[in-house]
Amino acid sequence: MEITLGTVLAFLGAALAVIFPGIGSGIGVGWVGQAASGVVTEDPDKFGQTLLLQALPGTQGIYGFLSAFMIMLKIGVLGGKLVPLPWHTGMLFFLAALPVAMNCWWTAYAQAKTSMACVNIAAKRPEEIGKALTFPAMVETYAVLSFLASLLLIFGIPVE
Amino acid sequence: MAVVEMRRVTILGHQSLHEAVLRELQTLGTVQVDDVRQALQPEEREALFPENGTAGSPAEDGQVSRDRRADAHLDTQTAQVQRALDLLDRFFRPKKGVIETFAGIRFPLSEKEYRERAQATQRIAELVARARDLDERLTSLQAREAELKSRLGLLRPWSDLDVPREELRDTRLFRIVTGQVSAGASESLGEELAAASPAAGYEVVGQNREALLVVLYYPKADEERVLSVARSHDWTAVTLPEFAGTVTDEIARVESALDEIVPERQRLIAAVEQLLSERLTLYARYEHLRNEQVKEEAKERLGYTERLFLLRGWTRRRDVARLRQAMERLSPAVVVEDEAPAPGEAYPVDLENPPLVRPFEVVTRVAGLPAAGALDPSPYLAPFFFIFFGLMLGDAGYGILLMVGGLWLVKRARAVGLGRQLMYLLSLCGVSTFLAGMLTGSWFGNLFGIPPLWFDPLKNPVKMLVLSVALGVVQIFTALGIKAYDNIRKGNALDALYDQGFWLVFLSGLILMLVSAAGGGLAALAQPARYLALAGAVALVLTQGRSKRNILARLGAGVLSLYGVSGYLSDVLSYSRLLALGLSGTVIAMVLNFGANLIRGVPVIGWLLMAVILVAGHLFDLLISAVGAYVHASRLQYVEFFTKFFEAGGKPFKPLTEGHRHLLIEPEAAPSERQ
Repeated sequence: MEITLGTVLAFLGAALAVIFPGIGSGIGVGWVGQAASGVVTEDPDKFGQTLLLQALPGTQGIYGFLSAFMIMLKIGVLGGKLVPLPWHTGMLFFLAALPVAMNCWWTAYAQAKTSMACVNIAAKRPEEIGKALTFPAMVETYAVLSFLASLLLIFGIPVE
Repeated sequence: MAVVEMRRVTILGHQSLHEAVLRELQTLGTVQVDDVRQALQPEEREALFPENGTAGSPAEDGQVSRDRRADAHLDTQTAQVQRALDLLDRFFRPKKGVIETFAGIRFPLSEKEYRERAQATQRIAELVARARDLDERLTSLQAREAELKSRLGLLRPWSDLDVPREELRDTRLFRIVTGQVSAGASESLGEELAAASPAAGYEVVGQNREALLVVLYYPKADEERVLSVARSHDWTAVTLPEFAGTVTDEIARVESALDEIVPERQRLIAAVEQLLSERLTLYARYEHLRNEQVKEEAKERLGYTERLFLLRGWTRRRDVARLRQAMERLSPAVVVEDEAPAPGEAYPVDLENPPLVRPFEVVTRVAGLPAAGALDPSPYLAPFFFIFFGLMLGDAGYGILLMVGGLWLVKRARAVGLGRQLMYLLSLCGVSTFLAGMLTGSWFGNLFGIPPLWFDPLKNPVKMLVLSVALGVVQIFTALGIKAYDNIRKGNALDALYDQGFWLVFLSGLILMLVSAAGGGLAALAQPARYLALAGAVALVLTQGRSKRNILARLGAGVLSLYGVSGYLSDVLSYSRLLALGLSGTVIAMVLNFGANLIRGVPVIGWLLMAVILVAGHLFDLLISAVGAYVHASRLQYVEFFTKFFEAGGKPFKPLTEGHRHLLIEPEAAPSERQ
């Protein structure tokens, strides 16, 4: 079967949506894990709380993957019937992937740093864990918005 | 409902009764004991304690200084029991399941048994002494093991030295020493030594990584020359420890001594294990002592005259009668007064809500308690939190899991206080998650292909987006309404009209304009909506600058205030996260189901693999999406809802009470009242 430039561009978009947020979340979760393990060394009972904090910058990678999944679904990768896309449709998929690829990448870093700082809250004032979860959630907003934008864009692309 | 009404209490009595009074208060658990020094007005303080103007410094030879000595004794006792408990924890950490790792572990104990165990002083003294003895023996055993190991490390390289240690001694004319030289020394060392002293020589006994181990012998007269030769080959003397027989003999002895250490430690640990059956007694004693300490600390906060003590604090209004009864029963020489807080006085804050709202207090408490006299937001945020969480998790299957799981956790984890309420909150939100899942046709994602009762947000995301934003509008209007109510309640009806009423008019006009422009048979509304918005805007321009004196500045501030629309706009758009998080959970579930379906094709174990992927995957999705839903549902309350009306800054009500960290005391008298 024929591979068109459009299909290539759509693949590129899906790939970027997985790659960048994945890198951001991977590194971010790693950072918070390092901070958390210091706390757990002192007090193993803090495992649950710090694990929650560690999970927070992990969502970006998931958003990226989900966007890629939606692209795959749309262009028929998953059904086994790859749709040959005209180049401009492929470009649309590529552009639709950009918000999630870029925003989730950098917000994962920012959220990881906030989470790391909040590990201190878990360490010194475990009763305030609710507040510690809220600060990273403020960063998450922008990841969620970019994910939403990408998703709506992907939904809106007409495919034959 | 809402913030509990507090009464200021003053208790006055003879000094000899302060212990009994505090003990009673601690049992009641309803009175917060303030520091008299802060709770009294300056003139009251002056009148009551005229000598130095500071309360709480009673005569040193009185009752109180005796208490201080008892206090120090308490600290020592607590430390001893703590040490025994630490010993037990070191070898036998309480086994924790997944739940306990998160919620902490508690041992249930009946009230009666708790008292008995905590008071069994004879037995506890024995336990503590035994634990201390075992602890010391374990410590010295450890030291001995370290010593033996280092001796073994020193001797091992010398194991080929077959001369008994006794014979490695200087003779009348010769010196015999052990030591090491650099590994490459062997070739030239012999010749150089012979040149320095014909009678000198050496024997290579062994080798370690970078050096040869040698025995060096030489006439004492040639010591200087021999040693300078040896030093040129990095000579370092090694003094072997004293022992009888050859090195091999000594190594065997040390090894057998080391072998004995392991069983010895096991004996000691077995002895520690025998104490394990008394762990609850130790916990009971520990918590009893901690509670005694809390009581002693409360004494420091009382005021004392020569013969009297004075207690100031707070209690809930509904607890006053029982407090009075208890004090009357205690002694006629104790006086209880209670009064309403002075206007504007910051009394401690406690929340009270009907059972269905109570779990949502968790959300409020995380943000901080409302200020004294302010509204408790819990009942207002409850329906919104309920709906938002449900929409964001939005899966009927997950909803059922949350309902069941939350209730199971309440039973299983034996959590008290906030943790317990959080679990109730989770199971309540499970209900809304279940409903949202039914409406949107999500049962573990698309696992069963059950059609939605309403619509599928994946197929019609715009409809869901509109719904999300509309919910946002409802919540923000509610917030303005609450603020207006609060203003009216405080007698500022005009503020309610200007600051909230006009905004509501203006915003309603704008929204109607948008809706009518969107078509759908509402076009007829366009004209009235425009007038409504205009009227609202004019009213705002005229009133929002009312704090300014200058008429121009007033109008300017009014016009500027319209810029607040952008704030409302961003608030409302923030609710689009309801759609985004809802989709994210659903799509993760879809991906899982898709993957599981693919793997079903694997021969023989395909079905098994599919089951594993489905169970593990959906649990993961539930966990991560539930955390997301909780955090974002909270955020919408804090950032979008609370900012419109919430007054934070309440100090929590902290009654003097008996606390328990490790035990879960089950009262026997009224098991039905368990909270």
